[in-house]
Parts: sequence; structure tokens; C-alpha cells
Amino acid sequence: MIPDFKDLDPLLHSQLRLAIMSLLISVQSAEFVFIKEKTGATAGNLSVQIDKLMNAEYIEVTKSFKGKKPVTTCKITKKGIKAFEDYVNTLQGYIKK
Amino acid sequence: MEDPKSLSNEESLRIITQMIQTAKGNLKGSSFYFLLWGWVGTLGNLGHFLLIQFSDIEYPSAIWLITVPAWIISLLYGYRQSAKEKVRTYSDTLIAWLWMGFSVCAVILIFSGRFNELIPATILMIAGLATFMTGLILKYKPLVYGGSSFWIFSAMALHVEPVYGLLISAVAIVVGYLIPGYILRSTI
Repeated sequence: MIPDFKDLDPLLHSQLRLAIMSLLISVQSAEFVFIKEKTGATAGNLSVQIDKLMNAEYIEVTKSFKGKKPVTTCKITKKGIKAFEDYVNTLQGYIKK
Repeated sequence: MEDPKSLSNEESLRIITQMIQTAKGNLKGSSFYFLLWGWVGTLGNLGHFLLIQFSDIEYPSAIWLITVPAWIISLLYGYRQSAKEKVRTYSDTLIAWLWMGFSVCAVILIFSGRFNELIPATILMIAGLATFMTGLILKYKPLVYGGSSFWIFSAMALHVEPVYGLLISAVAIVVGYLIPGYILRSTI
């Protein structure tokens, strides 16, 4: 590895995952359908990417019910905020070069 | 399924900016509260004034009982809205707690029994603060101006006979709640 050279977090360096994280960093929590609507992703792809972010503990996922309707709510974690900030800082580093 | 496209730095930045813009606080729903409480406040103040001037009713302040159904409507509406919303923003939570704090102040003022005729002007002053802050949080200028106007009206109300303070409060609420409320509703 070259010193002073930071790699972009591969988990965030993907179109959809980055979009999910950018949405979640600006809100307190968002439902699956909201993220789906805003990113324009398919439900299948979105679930896979949300699982990856959840497994990395970047986001928290809670399942609940609104009346009889099941609802999935996502929320960014402290670890996720840190990862997102690092990603943005690294990106800025690249652009300045 | 992994998305295969490799991202350029510019694309990454574009996604981040676009998504953050998308998630910005929404103004929807707030107009309901401003219109409801705008009308309650205007009618309450005007009614209180008219009852004092033109009737010999023993407790003219009983007009303020109209706030009881308004509270119930607000709580029901808030509950229904939160069941419907698909996203919760920090600004929504902040505004909800700000008005909760305002309500606590108002209840202390009203039930302390020590402020009496100063109540309308004092409530106007703290409502001004809450409205002003709501306008700043939502970045919605008519509310910022409306909230600031409450302070001017409040200072005026404290300098006239208390009964005329009620009239000033009514005007203030039209300027600070109803006008921004209707502008908000027409822009959505």
C-alpha cells in the first residue's frame, strides 16, 4: 500500500449503497418504501444492498407494523456516519489532488 | 446482485448531493397547524375582546375553551400524520419538541393565576420565539417574519390597556400565523 493513499470504502463506493447512505445521513430514519422511491431501485436489489450495509453495522434495520402493514425502517448508525464522513473526506482528498 | 458500474469521483459527489437534497425537510403538514391555531387564536382574542366590551358575562375568558377541541384535533392530526409518514427528519422532531416546549410554557403561564391580563401579550412573545425558530428550521421566510412580528405586537400589547392587547394579539395572529399558513398552503 502506498503511504498517504487512502482507498475509498468499497462498501460505500457503489451507486446504490452510496445513495442509501446519503439519504439516511440527512434524516433521522426512513422507511424502505421511501428509500426505494427516492433511489429508483428495485425492491430486490435494494434489500440486498440494505442487508450488506446492515451486516457492516452502517445502518440499523427495524421491522414493525403500522396497523396490519409490515414496515421496514432504516436508520444510520454512529459507525455508518463515521464511514460516510471518511468516504467524503477521502473523496475530497482525491479531488484536491 | 452487486451493481456493476464503477463510480467516478464526480458521480459519487453527484449521488451524495442529489440524495441529500431529496431528503430535505418537508413543509407539508405544517400549514394545517398554523391555519388551525391561527383561526383559534384570532377568534379567541376577538371573542374575548367582544365579550368584555359588549356583554356582562362573568368569565369572558371562557372563550378560550375553544382551545380544548383544537388540542384534540391537533393531537389526532399529528398521530395520523406520523402513521402516514415514510420518513422522519431531524427538523420534524425538533419542531415538534419546540412546540411541546411552547405548550408547557403556555400552560404554566395560564394556570399560575399570576399573569392574568398579561397572558395574551406574554403568550404572543413566546409563540413569536417558537414561530421564528420554526421558520428558521424550515428555512421558510414568511414564518420568520411572522414570528418576529409577534415580538413587535407583544411589545405594543404590553403598552396599551389589557383589553386592547387582545385586539393587537388578534392582528398579530393574522399576520404571524394565518398569512404564512395560507401562503404555505398555496405553494404546496
